[in-house]
Amino acid sequence: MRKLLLAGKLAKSFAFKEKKHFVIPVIAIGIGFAGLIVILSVIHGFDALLLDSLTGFFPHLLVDSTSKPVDDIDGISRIFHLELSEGVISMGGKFKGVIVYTTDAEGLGFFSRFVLSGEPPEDGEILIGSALSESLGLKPGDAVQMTWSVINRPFSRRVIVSGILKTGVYQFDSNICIANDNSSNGLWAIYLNDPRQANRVKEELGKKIAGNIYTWTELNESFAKAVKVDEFFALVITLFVVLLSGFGIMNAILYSVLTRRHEIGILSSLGLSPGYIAFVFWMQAVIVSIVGLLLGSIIGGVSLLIISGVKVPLPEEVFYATYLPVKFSWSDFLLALIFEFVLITIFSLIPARHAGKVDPMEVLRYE
Amino acid sequence: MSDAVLEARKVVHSYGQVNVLRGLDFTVDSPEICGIFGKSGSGKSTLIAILAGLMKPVSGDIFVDSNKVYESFRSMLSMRKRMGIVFQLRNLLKELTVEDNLKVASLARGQEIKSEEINELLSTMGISQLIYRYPSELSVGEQQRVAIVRALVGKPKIVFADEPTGSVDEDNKKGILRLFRKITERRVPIVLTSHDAETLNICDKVFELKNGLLKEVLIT
Repeated sequence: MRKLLLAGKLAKSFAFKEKKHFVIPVIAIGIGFAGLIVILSVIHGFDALLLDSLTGFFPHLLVDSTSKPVDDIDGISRIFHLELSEGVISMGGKFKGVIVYTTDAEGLGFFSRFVLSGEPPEDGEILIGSALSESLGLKPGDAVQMTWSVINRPFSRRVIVSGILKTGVYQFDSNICIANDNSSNGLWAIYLNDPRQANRVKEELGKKIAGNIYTWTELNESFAKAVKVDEFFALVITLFVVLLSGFGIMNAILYSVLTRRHEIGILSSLGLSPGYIAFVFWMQAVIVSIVGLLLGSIIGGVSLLIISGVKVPLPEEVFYATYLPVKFSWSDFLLALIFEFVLITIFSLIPARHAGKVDPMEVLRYE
Repeated sequence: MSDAVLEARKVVHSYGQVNVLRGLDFTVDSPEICGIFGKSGSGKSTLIAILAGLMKPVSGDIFVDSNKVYESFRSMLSMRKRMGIVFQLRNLLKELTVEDNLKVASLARGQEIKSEEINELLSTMGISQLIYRYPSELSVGEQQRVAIVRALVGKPKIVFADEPTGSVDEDNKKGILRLFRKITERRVPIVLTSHDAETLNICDKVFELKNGLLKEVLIT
């Protein structure tokens, strides 16, 4: 314990005496750590938004069954008819491929929460996504020609746009139409209290009814994968920034070792082992890192506040979110902290070990 | 095996083709001051470094209290803790106060020295007023005296000093020599190298290092 305190004291005095040499590494560590916190928070922001937006609108389970699935399974909150089909709407020479949700009154009751303007559709009317309405220049009351199919029966009719809906997910808002059809008897849409329980409910439901059951993750797999790829590359880029901070601290400690050869010689002549001398320089890296991590925490915290306060806009055609989502969690912070610390430890060990190998006699004789 | 505090047997050392020490024997067996002089380049500093466990000789053995210094790397480190060493210049860690410099030495030697003990040690040596000063606030002579006190921390078996008075003025030299006398009163032997006649005058035995061998000379 006494030796630990002594190492800390020596490391602190070495580090503070040479503080101008540690300014850049401290900034590098700070930026790397702040970047890591922000990226992890944004990644989890996207995850949370994906979960909330996607599962807020899209059915958690779709059941292909002629009979209504039992709703006595724990976690089911709502069941209604929903037919999904591809279609085309056209207006004034403009054509647009769409996904048509045909549902009954109960389904319309559910989807009405997303209506931005206008009313839920009556017979011969449709709700359309906000991005779709913008691309075609449609507003409530406009008429369009829609061609689609319900249970393999093709339809083509003139329909009136009754309202515009916004789900918050661009991929839906850019191609969705919701039509009213009380005779709809295709699939069953099931919503759960917790969408993460979809697999469990699917399993339990599968024991009770015949027919195919699809979870929301299965039906949006490619969408979720695309998001994961984005997240992966964001994380990789940040890790490179963090790696650079590792090289920064390695250089700073190496410089410290080279300029402190005389002190190393004195410590060695007193009988301190190479391992202990290396430990002193490693502690120096730890002290510098702590300062850098504190700086990074402040930069990261302020950045998150700014990002969530300003609501940085994102191009809707590229991202499924309209603004950069952030979700801070202490576990992310801890993860980033541990990662940075382990990285700095590894990088600083190399020059610290070099300190332990300095020959005291060579230094004390010739300096 | 003798009961000597320090024993060097047939020590040989060379730098490339230049033989510096040629089978040198040397023994210190009582709390005395042994002075070594010789021409520049005769190998005095090399000898002190080898005796103090800082540099392994090409051949030969060094024993401190019958323990072989260069038995292994571990034994070399262990022996360093049982010996005090004073260099000609820049002995102290400049970031630490005098008190902390002494505490580092104490902890390095596996002991913990209390502030009162440091005070007492510095008082005995007549430099208690320097306790909270940093090396940069001390003169070269004061730094040297602190280095000598540091060599005493942890009750070493023997103290080595390489040209301890080489860079100080007359007043400081006298102070340093008084310190060496006080060290021997604590029954700690000293081996020092010097060119200076006044320094060699306080020695109980004086040796000349010539042609890689030590030869005792009579003090007149």
